[in-house]
Amino acid sequence: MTPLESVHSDKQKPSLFRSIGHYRQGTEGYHLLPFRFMRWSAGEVLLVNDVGEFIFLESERFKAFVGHRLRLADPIYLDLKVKHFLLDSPSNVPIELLATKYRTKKSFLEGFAKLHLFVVTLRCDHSCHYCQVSRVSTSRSKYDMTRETARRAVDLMFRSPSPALKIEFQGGESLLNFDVIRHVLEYSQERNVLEGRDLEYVVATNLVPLTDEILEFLRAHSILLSTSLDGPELIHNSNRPRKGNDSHAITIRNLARAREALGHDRVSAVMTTTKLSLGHPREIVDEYVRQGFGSIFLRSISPYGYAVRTGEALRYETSEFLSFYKAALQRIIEVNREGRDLVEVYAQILLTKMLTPFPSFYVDLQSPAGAGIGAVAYNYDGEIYASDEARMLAEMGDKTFRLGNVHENTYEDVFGGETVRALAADSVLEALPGCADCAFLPYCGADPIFNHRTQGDVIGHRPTSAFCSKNMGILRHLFGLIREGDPFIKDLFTRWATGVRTPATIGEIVS
Amino acid sequence: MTGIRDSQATPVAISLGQTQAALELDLSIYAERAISRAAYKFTDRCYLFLARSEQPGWMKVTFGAKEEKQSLLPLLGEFCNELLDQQIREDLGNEAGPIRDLIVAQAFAEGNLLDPQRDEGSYQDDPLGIGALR
Amino acid sequence: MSLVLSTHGKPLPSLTRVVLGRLTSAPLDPGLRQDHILMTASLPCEIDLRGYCGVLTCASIPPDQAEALARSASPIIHNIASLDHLQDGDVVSLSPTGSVRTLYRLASPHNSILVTERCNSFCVMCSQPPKSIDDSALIGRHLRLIELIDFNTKELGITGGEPTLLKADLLRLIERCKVLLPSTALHVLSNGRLFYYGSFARDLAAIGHPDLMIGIPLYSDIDWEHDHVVQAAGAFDQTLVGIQNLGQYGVPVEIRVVIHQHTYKRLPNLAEFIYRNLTFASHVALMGLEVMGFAVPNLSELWIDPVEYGTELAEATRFLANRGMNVSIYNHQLCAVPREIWEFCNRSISDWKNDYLPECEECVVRERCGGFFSSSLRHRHSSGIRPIRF
Repeated sequence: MTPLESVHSDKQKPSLFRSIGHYRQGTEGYHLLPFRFMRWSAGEVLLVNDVGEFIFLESERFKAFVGHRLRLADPIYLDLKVKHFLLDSPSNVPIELLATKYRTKKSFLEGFAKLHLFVVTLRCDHSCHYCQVSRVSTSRSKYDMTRETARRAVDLMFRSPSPALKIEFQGGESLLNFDVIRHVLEYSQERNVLEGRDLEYVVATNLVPLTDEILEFLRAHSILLSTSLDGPELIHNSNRPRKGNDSHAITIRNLARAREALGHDRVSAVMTTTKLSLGHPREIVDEYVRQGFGSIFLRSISPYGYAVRTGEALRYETSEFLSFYKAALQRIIEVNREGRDLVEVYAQILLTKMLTPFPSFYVDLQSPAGAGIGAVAYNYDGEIYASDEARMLAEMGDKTFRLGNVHENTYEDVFGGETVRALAADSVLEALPGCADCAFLPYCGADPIFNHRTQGDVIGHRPTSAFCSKNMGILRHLFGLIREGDPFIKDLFTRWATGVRTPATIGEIVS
Repeated sequence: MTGIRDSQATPVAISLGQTQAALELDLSIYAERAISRAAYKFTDRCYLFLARSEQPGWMKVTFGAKEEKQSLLPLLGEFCNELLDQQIREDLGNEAGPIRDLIVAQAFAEGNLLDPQRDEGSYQDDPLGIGALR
Repeated sequence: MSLVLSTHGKPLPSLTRVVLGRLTSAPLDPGLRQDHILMTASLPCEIDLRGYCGVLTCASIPPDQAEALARSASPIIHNIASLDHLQDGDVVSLSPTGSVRTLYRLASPHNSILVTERCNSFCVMCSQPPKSIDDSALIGRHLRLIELIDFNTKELGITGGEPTLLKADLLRLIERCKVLLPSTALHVLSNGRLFYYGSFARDLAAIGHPDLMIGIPLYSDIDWEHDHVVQAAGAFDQTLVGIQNLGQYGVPVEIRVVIHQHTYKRLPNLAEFIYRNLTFASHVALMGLEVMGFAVPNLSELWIDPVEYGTELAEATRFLANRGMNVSIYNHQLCAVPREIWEFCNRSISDWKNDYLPECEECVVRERCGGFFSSSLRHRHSSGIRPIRF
């Protein structure tokens, strides 16, 4: 007799099927799974687990939950269970799921250094106030990378096991040494016939030196351009002085040429916030809309190079930047509401961590920090640094994060050396005071070089850290917007976090 | 320095002065680590000094004003609240810490640390009886 | 509309065991006959019947000829009422009882092989209730069927029961599909529990089938809710680990959710759970209930009108789609589903059990609509059915 027949014929007998209660047996009490929390408001607590899933709890419920007094009948119980905040069975499968999710979140570590910065020259026609290291100089020999240095750097790069490698040309004004850019490209392509890596090239440029010949070369090799646009003419030209005071006009003119030659979406831009910018968030965003950009990266000034040398005149408080950021983000959201797609890249990086199971590959906000293990910078003179910031620091006389020289050191010296090891060991958030118990840990990163520069040691002091207060401020703001529940903003943030990325948002953005 | 000492009744004893204040804390209620983590969060706003209390099993946290007119009383209140949260974190760490270690270990392990059958169990033999008919 | 999938006639005694063959109505050269069953309207004394693996005819063979034919020709079933439902290229089985069962239809996009009727779960709404019989010896027939199926078949299903109970034999079958039907997409319906053993997933992946998908049901994000639906304690955990193992070895997985009274409420939560934990899933199918098998006696406990879970269905669908996951809605009628998610609705019901209501004739989106399971029309369907007129 088949089971079906028995169902039909034995109506009076007990059912073949067991009730749900039978399968819920043994769920008395629960264990807490690892998470971090913060007081969100007077009445609410934000809980975040190690893989970035989060939940808001009323304070009373939170108290009951951590006191093991939350009842199954409480509607929040099942949410906490399925988001893996509590474990109410002897099963270890939730632990396995968490482990898989954790591995995914840390997958940016796979393959080791993927971003290779080539500082091909320090020469530049601009003398931006915030610029780190550029030299307005005509002396080619002194500040240009040579072909031989470039080849050695490419050879080192190919020692990295990563199947995908991103080469970013930096300056100074990188295109002033176009010969070496071309050489790096040709040599790396030649080597790649055997290597078979997935190579991507980005040129960071102010667009001034663009010629038709250069454009044709960039087009032929599908090279991306990343430029700087600080806002409308007045702000841009004030931030980015050059002889003739025409930086904005040239940027816009050459932007059009570049888009024409390479494709509209092959050119992205970043902006740097100066003291002058602080009062003009709307105007800056609107300039990006006017110029037809799909993304904008709102960046605060960094404590390197000219930015430090010029001192107080340019300095502003983190709180001022946060006000600017929030106002600009509000304008960006409005712009999207009006039907124009415009992504704020920093928010996108954070939202990817908050709203998706995936990591962000942005090297400046990782744990352990990306310096040395995710990215490396080859300076024009062959010196190797753990990051772009590390080589700027070196230009200021502090070579703490020098990893070696392309002419003198082997791959093992450079990437297996003490400096890289120490940088990684000292930038694991779980082990940093103030970070270890912070609810935002899964979304944040460590910047040991920033800490060293601003606070005198790589560990840093969180209560007075500008890096910490900036990221706390932005994360709180983003969570606040999500918490408010405006459906348009929730959808927009989901699109940013999960959607098709514009070229500028894949990986790392240059200055 | 005027002292308010509510001895055994509460786990906290407060003394408050012009430029200094102190809390004495019962270590059977607050873990040392919770106290030092809470203290760390205030290091931007005042000077802190941790020491063993004269009373066995208690710890003394001394707050020093960074500026002359700084009022320390609100800081003490905030500190006590922060301490409660840090103690929850401490308890949470004790309960979930080993699981966190296991998650991270499993995330980067070659094999399956949780149940070797998930890697090595023979599906043909089905030692767990998963394929048994209902 | 209901398709005829079996018929019968009178077997000659030479039919001593079950025979599988590909149908042909045209006589073939002797060298090509061994895989074929010849269909012939009248009994053709003039036709050479030797070498075919079987012969079917509607004609009645007189007893005096029968003996001779049984000795000299292929196994024959005669006196069949009609062969109209069969066409060249179909694969049928002939059994000594005289039955002719269709195993594969050339013209259908919905062919599947039922490889076992055994199951280690006992789902409350199972449309094909399991049987506790040992049918493992039938593997030879399944392997034979693979040899006979048309080379150009686009898609082939493997169902049960629970196909993974065949263990190594299932892998043999998939391996044969890879060799003999390299351009046929293979879709295996499994509860995934036995893939808890990573070695099973690894061996399956090692076959390297170029177009394989394992469709695995997940009914809830809560362990005991899923276990209740499949009536097996521990099944949720086993299935989840199984899906993870398949994902780890790169075998494409489809998550299948059947929506009924026990599963509709947490659809949005389940969508989030799938996104967070099983992001690698190639496809998520949100499916209406087929009122067949166990669903019939359990209908009062299982039934919920699709118009009553439209909100949950839309939310779950949008959640997954907005996050780049490939999601479809199966077995629903467009008029019973919120219009905002029509684009996800598929015509998913196999042709042989698919029907429409008379009022559907006036509907302008009928051609895009999945319609009904024939069985559901016999029992219960949504109260929201009405022709769409725009």
